[in-house]
Amino acid sequence: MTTLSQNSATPRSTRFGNATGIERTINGGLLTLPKTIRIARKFGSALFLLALTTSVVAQRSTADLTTASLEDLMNIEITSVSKKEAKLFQSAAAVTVITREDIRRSGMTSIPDLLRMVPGMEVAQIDGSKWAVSARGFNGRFANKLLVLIDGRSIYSPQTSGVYWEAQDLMLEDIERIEIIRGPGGTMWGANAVNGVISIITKSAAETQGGLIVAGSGSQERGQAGIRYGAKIGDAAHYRISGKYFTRMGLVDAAGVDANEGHKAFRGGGRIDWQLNNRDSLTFSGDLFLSKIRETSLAISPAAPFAPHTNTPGEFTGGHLLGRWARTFSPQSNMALKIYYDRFSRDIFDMSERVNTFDVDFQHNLALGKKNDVVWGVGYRRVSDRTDSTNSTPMRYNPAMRTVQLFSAFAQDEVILVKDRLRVTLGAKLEHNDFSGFELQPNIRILWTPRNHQTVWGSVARAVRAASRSDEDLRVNVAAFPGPGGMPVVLAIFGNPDLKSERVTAYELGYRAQAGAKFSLDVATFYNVYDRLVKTEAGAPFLETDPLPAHLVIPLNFKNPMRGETYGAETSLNVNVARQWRLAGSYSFIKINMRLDPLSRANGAEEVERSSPQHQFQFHSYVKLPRNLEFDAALYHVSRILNVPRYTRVDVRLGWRFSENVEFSFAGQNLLDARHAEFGGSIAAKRLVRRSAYGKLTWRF
Amino acid sequence: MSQLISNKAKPRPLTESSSGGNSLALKIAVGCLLSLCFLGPLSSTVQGQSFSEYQVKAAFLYNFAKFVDWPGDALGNGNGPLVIGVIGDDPFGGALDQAINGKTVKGRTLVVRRLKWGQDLRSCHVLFISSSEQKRLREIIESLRGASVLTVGDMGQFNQHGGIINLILEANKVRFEINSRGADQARLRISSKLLSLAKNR
Repeated sequence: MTTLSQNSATPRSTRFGNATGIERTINGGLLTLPKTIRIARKFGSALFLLALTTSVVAQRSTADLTTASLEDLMNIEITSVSKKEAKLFQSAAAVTVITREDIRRSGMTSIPDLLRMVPGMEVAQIDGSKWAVSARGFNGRFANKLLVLIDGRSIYSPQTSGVYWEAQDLMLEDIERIEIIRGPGGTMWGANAVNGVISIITKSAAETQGGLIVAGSGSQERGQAGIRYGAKIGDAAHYRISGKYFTRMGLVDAAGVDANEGHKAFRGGGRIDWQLNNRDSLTFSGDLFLSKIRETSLAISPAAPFAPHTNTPGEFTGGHLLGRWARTFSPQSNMALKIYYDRFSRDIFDMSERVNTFDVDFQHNLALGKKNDVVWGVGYRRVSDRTDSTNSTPMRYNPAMRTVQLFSAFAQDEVILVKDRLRVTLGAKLEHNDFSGFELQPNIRILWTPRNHQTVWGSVARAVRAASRSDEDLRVNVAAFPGPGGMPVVLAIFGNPDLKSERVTAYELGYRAQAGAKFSLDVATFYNVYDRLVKTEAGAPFLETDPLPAHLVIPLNFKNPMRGETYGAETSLNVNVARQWRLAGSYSFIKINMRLDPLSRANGAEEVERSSPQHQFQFHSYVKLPRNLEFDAALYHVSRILNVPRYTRVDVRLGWRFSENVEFSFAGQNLLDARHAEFGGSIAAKRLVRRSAYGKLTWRF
Repeated sequence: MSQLISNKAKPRPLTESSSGGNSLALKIAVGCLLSLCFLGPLSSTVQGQSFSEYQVKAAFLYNFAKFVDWPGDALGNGNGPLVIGVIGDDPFGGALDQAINGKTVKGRTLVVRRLKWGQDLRSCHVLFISSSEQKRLREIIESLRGASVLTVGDMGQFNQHGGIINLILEANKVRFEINSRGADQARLRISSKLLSLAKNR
């Protein structure tokens, strides 16, 4: 289920192109900034295009590193490991990797915000603590077709089918990289990776030795502080401990007034990496968190005022313990065993819940001869939860407590048909879950490398979004109003034990090209055919007397009445213009066509079609200036979605490395407008994101 | 800053704000973006590619040859070449040959030799042991006992198994650890400069 991160040294890894192509200046400097600005204003974008073209055709020059001093050599930041790059270049899937350099230079302060830089990713902030994140359509607060993992631990809530982004966070400095695969990851990662997988991989303890303190403050990000310390235990083990705190303003309403939906969180944890011998390594990690939010929701009740807006506090707590044992039997064979336990608890207005997850999985990589690369694995997960609700809480589960089990097994074989030129990967995953029974998810991928710096890949895959606890057992009141004759009416969504898994058959075709270390292009296209998609359908009304007064309930039952297609493309371009300057741009397009079963009373197909921006483009520039300054800028354009006009977001960051160990950075975000909305879905009230700025200090010791 | 942020102006349509340009932030943003567009080509005199891990490591090998002294009998008489061997799968690609091509150290031409287990490793002065040889590391080190060969590797536990210099990655930068006992046993004198830059264990 979680092989993406376990497998971090094999395909599915690093980013295509020169993700971290930011190196220390060894020779020479730049023109001074003011002059540059003057010239730039005169000539503007024509010159930019010219610059782009010339840099693309320019020959790669090979600087002679042996003339550099040892001290300089030790300061060169190398680009992501070339071996991995090659592998990534040759992966038959739409992969993007956010590197730690990307993270540092983005100026972003949360994980969902970081995901904005992924081509085709849909990221919308809902309120002060909530985000809607999806890929290739179907976005919403609980976007349920995207699997998210941290070091192989699923943070996809099996209760609600989605991710509670308000409870998930990391010290961003601890992140090694974030791997994003758009498209079905069914074979390797299991159910719910229908439209994509996000795998967040943290640094090993050996890479976080010494001390680190970060502290910052700003208009939106009121306070942020983090501390980390790492050291050795004996000869072969390293550890780190870290803690983080932040306090964040909420968003504003349409008039620009703060909505009192702030967010603050504490988080502390650690990790030990222990190299037992040449063959065996152990990793242990764990953390604890407390996340407090305020949110506005509708207090639905069958009596007047029926559905008033109410601003209430909420609290998330939890933690995890994870252990992983990896053994290398030979260069051709290695295995990993991972076990984790995760606790999650949510105390909030609509319903309180506690969830315990125990997960164990095993994976074995095996090269058979020179042509076959086999990966297989088995997994088991047990999730038990307890919810606290009464008949008057707006949300409840029936039964209130439930334990579910998930068994899985997968196998995949990568076959080399023509050495260095043609490879085929065949794989399938078989799962058994308590809701929908057995699910088989096969896929086939072909990778053709006509020339060393060009690849063409294609795939056909079948994936499912397994029915979950909420699909079967949920009741949530969504509206209340006085009905005819004064009888109050409550609209409520009900789970359906007969609900089927949502299915997709995905066809993908992609192309990558690389010209030296300068320039890389990535195009991914997809055509997805969905069926049995879930929508609610009104059922027969019934009378309810608890809570009083007596009221009519119109049930909206989960059914599988919708089918449809999506198609689109994501294309990105990376240009290392000079050692000090990197440009990255991307454009993505998606078209969604949904149809409801004509016999169904459901509606809302159009809502799905219009909830994803049809066009998105972004442009990033990363510049190293003399005097240890960095200037980074990003522009994101998102076309309109339901209830939200199109918007353009501009972020800039200025970084100053004061000394080897001390760095200051200043970031301005959403600079183009005073405020704009990003999400218009079905929440109590629409919130707007403000222009903001912050400053931050990073000190290593 | 705070005025920027608590801007109480009514929201304007995007098109208007981008042409109106009466916002300081917008001006700064546009100015900066434009300046970015121009910085690159002007700095193209220092245009270079980004460096891969093994390009940098190749340069380190060159420096090790420079900052280590071999005993007279190991270098031999005359002006024979100084041999850098690579055993196992060569991770350098062409980077090592490119780095040392035509270079001399201590008046001797540098040459690269690619070796397999079973070939004479003692004829090298520097031996880079590829991580593909991890399982055989002990044997390789053992076979070099008594010879003045500077072993260099980039794998976990390299020095603990008797390797002399281990290259490690820290925050995407190359660092190295020196096993001075191993160096003494091989009768190699490592310059104080190298020792001072090495990571303390």
